[in-house]
Amino acid sequence: MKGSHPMATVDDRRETLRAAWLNRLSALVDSVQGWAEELGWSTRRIDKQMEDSQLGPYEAPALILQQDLTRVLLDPIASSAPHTEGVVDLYRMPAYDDVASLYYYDDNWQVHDQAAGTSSAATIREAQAKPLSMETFREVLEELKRHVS
Amino acid sequence: MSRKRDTWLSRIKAVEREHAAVRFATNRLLEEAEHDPTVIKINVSLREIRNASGRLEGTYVVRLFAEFESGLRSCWSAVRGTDPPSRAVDLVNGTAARHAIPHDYIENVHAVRNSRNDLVHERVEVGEPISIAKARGDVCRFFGFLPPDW
Repeated sequence: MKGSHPMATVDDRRETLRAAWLNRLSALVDSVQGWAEELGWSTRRIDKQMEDSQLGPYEAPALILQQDLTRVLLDPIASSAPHTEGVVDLYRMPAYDDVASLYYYDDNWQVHDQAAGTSSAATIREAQAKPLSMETFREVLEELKRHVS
Repeated sequence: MSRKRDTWLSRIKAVEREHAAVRFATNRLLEEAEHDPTVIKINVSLREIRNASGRLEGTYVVRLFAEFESGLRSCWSAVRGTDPPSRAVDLVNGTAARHAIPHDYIENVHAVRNSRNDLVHERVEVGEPISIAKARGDVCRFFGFLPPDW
């Protein structure tokens, strides 16, 4: 294979996967930021240091949302998991209580809402899924605020 | 640039996520092994897997507290320029005093520390075990009082 280098191929593939994941993530953060601001939440983007066996170390965008005393973190978790091409969690801060998980499959982000009254990361994956939209996101935030009050 | 406090908080939360993954895997294995013990192909018995499963949450509470403690030590060294105290109780109290952490938050972290000690030191009289979700919440709330970066 004239001119090709195996390491360069591995690095190129890693770079391509990482770029695709970061694009998907940035688009999600942009959407959620826009919806949250429309719903009266203040937002702040932050960077998160990621470690990924497939993608190597990199920084990914995350988002903090706040309304009154309720603070929520949109936290990127992994670029892939079985049957998904991306996992992002929504936590209530500062305790990092599970609120919902977002999984990317069927060409869309799907919301797995944490059932009210439960607080374990172990149960969230089995929760009922809904395609992510401004409406489903609003429902998640409203449910959270009801639960808090 | 990601901030040190956020990075440590993520690491603490990651321990709980890891527990959830191992809990899921262990439950699936136990379920399958109850029906077909031959699925266990290594030199361990079903009873040993049941024991490990029964102690899983405690094991991860110990790991979670260790991650929290490492984060406190990292902050202490950088902020004060001195070695942190070796005893966890002094580390927690000293950190709380420095960063004006409310009393209830300190008490909750000491409850997690005591629960960790019950598991590690095999005490005769032990308190009620703390769930990993409660332990994570209590240590994260405390950790949230630290400066964003150090």
